[in-house]
Amino acid sequence: MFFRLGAVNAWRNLARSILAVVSMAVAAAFLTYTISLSRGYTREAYASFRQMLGGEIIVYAQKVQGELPKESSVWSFERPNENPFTDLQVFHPEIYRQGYLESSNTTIIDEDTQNSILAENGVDGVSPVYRLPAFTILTEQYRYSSDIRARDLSRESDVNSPKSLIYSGRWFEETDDGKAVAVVSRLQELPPGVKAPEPGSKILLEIPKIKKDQYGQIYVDYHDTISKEITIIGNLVAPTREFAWQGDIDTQTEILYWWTNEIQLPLGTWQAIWQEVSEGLVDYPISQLILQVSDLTYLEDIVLNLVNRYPESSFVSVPNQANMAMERQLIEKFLAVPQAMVQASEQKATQQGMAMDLRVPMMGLVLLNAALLVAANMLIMINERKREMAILKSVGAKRVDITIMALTEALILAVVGAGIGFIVFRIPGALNQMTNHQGVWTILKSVFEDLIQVLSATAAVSLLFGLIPAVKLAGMSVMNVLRSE
Amino acid sequence: MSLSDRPILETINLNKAFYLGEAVYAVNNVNIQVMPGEIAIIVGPSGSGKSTLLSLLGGLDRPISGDILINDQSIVKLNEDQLALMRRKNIGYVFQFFNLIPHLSALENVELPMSIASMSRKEARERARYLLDEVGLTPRAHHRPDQLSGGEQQRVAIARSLANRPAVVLADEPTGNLDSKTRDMVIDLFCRFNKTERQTFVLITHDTSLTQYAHRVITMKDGRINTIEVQNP
Ligand SMILES: Nc1ncnc2c1ncn2[C@@H]1O[C@H](COP(=O)(O)OP(=O)(O)OP(=O)(O)O)[C@@H](O)[C@H]1O
Ligand SMILES: [Mg+2]
Repeated sequence: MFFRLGAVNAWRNLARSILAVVSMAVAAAFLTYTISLSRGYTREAYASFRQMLGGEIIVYAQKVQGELPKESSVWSFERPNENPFTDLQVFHPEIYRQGYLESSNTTIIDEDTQNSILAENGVDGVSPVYRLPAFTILTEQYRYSSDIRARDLSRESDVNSPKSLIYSGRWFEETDDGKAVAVVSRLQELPPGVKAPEPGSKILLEIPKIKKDQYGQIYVDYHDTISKEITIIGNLVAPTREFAWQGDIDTQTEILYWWTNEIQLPLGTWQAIWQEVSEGLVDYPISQLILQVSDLTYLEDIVLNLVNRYPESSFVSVPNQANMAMERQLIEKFLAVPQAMVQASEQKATQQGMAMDLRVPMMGLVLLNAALLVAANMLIMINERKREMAILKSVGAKRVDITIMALTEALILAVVGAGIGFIVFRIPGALNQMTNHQGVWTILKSVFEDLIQVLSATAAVSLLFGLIPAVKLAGMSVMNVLRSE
Repeated sequence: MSLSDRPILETINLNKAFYLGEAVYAVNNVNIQVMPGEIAIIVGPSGSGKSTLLSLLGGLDRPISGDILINDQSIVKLNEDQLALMRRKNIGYVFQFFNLIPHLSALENVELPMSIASMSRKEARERARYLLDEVGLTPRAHHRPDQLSGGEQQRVAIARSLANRPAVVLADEPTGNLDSKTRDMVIDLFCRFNKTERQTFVLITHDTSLTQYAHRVITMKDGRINTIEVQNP
């Protein structure tokens, strides 16, 4: 009975209802968007990881199985075959492995496979990873191991180029290709007192030669090296997450950074070096690719599709890995962070790693916005429904009945609005999923899950924020209302 | 007709004041009794407190002191919900200004108290049609209040007040907007229900010709009871 009255009321003042529905639709659309994002990621999610890497998905030629032991704080990976031309350092510095060319057979991702991966839906770019072991000679005394990596400038977009991570100097320009210039991290694992080379300085690289043994296997000859003088043109600083710990007085926070000895070179420059160290005898074994994906909303769907299509290879979503490491509260090494933090790092219980990711606050803001909308709408509604409330009470309606009537109206407006907003915003997502060759059931299931989430969130919020105005309406005295009319 | 000797409605030293700088006593120390099965009429000049008294009797407003007994039970201590239940069962109310729900049709307005009392829809519809017919509004059953004249709205309100067969019908100038023909129709209806269903009616009116139908005529002035005449209609 009172549900029906509430429903009738929602239709009665059509102009107001449409406004309320549209505003709820906008809120729900945002909510849908954020919920879809919680399947995928924002543009900003783990940007520094992605930018340092040059893309969103890592492809290994072989199966790489990575699993975190339950009790461990170290992210460990297992590779069936040690492959020197790949590394998993991005996930967690602890798993960084020294040494190259330890494996005897290297699986190669050939050009055809690269092209067919590029043709997959959602994949916007494919960059092979080119790495070589090297030693940096800073001065006569300081010689430390690093590795040189090629950056294919033509395949990087603004989103996954580390331009914004530049701390001093600059990132590469097209004209740098082929020149002996490099960008290094400002933060490197160096002996105490030794600073990373700054822009403008020169370093000497000692690069071991790559050879083939009599069985046709490639190996690194550390005794036979070439030297290269390189000019540093830029320093990078990549923040990875915020670290909070309990200080003496209050909670302290510090940004953690990526520490890496990687030396980044333009692809042309790197290729010239490769020609020299391999003496033209060996083709570079491409066993790792980085894929660029511009729509991060469906990143996991794209990865899922690739996993199904190339069962012999491994596809790793960088944000997902970072996310998982974050959830398990894995934190970076504290090599060069302040003493206080090193001490704090021993008090594991109070450690929190916080993702530099805006999804949670965004979702909260969107919900708050919807809540305020409902509250404002209900306050207006109260005034309109006063007389009706008084009449209903005069013919025997209880306070509960009035509350039900008011809440039904609020709920209908919220749910209709949310439904519209959801449909409008989720259809493109579903289409996107379809073009990614996902099965009908997978798509329907994810759409349904999202719908339940959006509807239950808006319904809960509208009931919660509608309750106080509704109860207030129900509590008004009959004659006071009727007299003032 | 044998009336029981206990009043169905009774007020004891009832007071209601509005504070406008100083207290204005709209109902001042009122003691009345209405016996079951009576038609009681309240008359008095405009502003004498008739409507205020009626709203107190219906539990729609709260007195500042005194007591109201309905079937020997005090209603002044009841909470909002208990009052609502009491009204649902015992009271039919006709407001001076009708107060119909604007977006419901005449028929639905009459059904309203019955649905609230959880009568089945079919039954409620049947009775609503019957009551609308009794007040001569069958052709207007599906009109909304803004499509009805003042007199027609008033008759819908009257039909609504009779819906749940309440023991007591409180009506504030129920014939105020009616022509003599429809007025007679409504009075006839009241008298008939009074006799057949033994319903008690308390009517406010400016129309002194109605007093001929009343068992009890209460005259108010300045919030006080001036005279109470008991008679045989
Ligand atoms: N909400 C209010 N605030 C202040 N004074 C009020 C209020 N309601 C009624 N009054 C005053 O109480 C007195 C009685 O009013 P009431 O409406 O009961 O009179 P009435 O006898 O029904 O008059 P009428 O015949 O014109 O309907 C009047 O003086 C009126 O001004
Ligand atoms: Mg009056």
